[in-house]
Amino acid sequence: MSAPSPAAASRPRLPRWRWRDALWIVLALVAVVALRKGESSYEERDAPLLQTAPAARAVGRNFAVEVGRLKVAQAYLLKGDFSHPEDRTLRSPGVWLSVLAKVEALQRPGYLTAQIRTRDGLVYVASNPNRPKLPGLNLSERALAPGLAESGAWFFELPPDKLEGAHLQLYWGNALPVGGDSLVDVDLGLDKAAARKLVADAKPVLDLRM
Amino acid sequence: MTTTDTAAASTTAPPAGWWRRNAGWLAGTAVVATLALWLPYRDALQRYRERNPSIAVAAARNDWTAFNGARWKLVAAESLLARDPRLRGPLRKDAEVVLLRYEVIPDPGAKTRDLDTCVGAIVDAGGRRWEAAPVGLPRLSGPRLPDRCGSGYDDAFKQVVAVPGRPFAFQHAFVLPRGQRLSELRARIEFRYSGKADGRYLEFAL
Repeated sequence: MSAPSPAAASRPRLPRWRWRDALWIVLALVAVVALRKGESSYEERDAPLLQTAPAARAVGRNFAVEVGRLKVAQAYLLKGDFSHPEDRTLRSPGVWLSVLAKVEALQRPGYLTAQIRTRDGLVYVASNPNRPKLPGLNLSERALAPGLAESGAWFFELPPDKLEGAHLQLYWGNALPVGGDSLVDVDLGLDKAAARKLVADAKPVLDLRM
Repeated sequence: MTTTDTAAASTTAPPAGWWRRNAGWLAGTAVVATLALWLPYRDALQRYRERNPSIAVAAARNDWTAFNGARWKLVAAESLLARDPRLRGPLRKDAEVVLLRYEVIPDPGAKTRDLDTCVGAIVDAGGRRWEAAPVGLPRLSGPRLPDRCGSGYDDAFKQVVAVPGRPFAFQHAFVLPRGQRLSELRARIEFRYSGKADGRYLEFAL
């Protein structure tokens, strides 16, 4: 048996390069790229679950809504209040869309919010309870409790050309629901003819003095 | 050194495997990883249970029950229908008002501020829940009682405060759908913001 050369023995031994290691590295890189490509975005993770529902009875987490008739008006004539006793006309830069509805909480008390989503993705949240100020009628920010159904209407201000294809969206609470919660989407059935008819039937000033 | 020497050395003391050489590190990593998952989970669970109490403390009927630094008793439960003379305001036709009168004796050292964070609720067998002092509650006539558990105002609009060792009366008023049987309902007192109730709530059978 011959002794090995002294130079080879003194040099520190490097791990032997094997093609199998290279294969593992390539596989790991492929996995990294594939997983990053398939990763859901923040928007996807935080977005609520869109849940389509019929207008007759739309049920979401903790609420049920029966959507009724729709009406469009250019302006509302409202009774004056304590500080302004004379009647006044409430105008909008667009048109007023009112959506009649019957709303009920199913399990616990709280609030329901409504918004309109147009066919091009714009969102119009229901007008606040002071615009128009109709205490028994405006459903915006109405306190709900189980077993005590409330009826009334939501009022939306939107451009008249956005009516076509608009959907009503409903969610429990005052803030947009976070991921996993339900955002109930009701198709209002506003095709081109229906939207045009609503605008054509719109009164210049709708009398809401009660 | 020759190859035969190395071979002889390796036969006498075989080199330990990677797992065995790093056993200490591996065990330490397992312990640290377990703690890193468990501790935040425990904290989040505790916070959730404080906000959503789920452990019922059944209250004795007509007797004092210790809960959250005080002793509690349900004194009276009654329901008022619409047109009851004690209702001094409009009430929707399909609703009734349920009044629950309680008394509480704070333990020595209990703070009024902590007692005031109580939340009163009624639940039915189906899990539906109503909270005290809702928006549609009409004004009530009769002796004025505080609606918080630790302080309030009396008939003369003078402030009354729960004193340790002395009973303090308060009242929770609810608006429920008409036709509820009181015997099927349960009243609750919860402390969601005091951080001491530890997921427990006090439950009374009506």
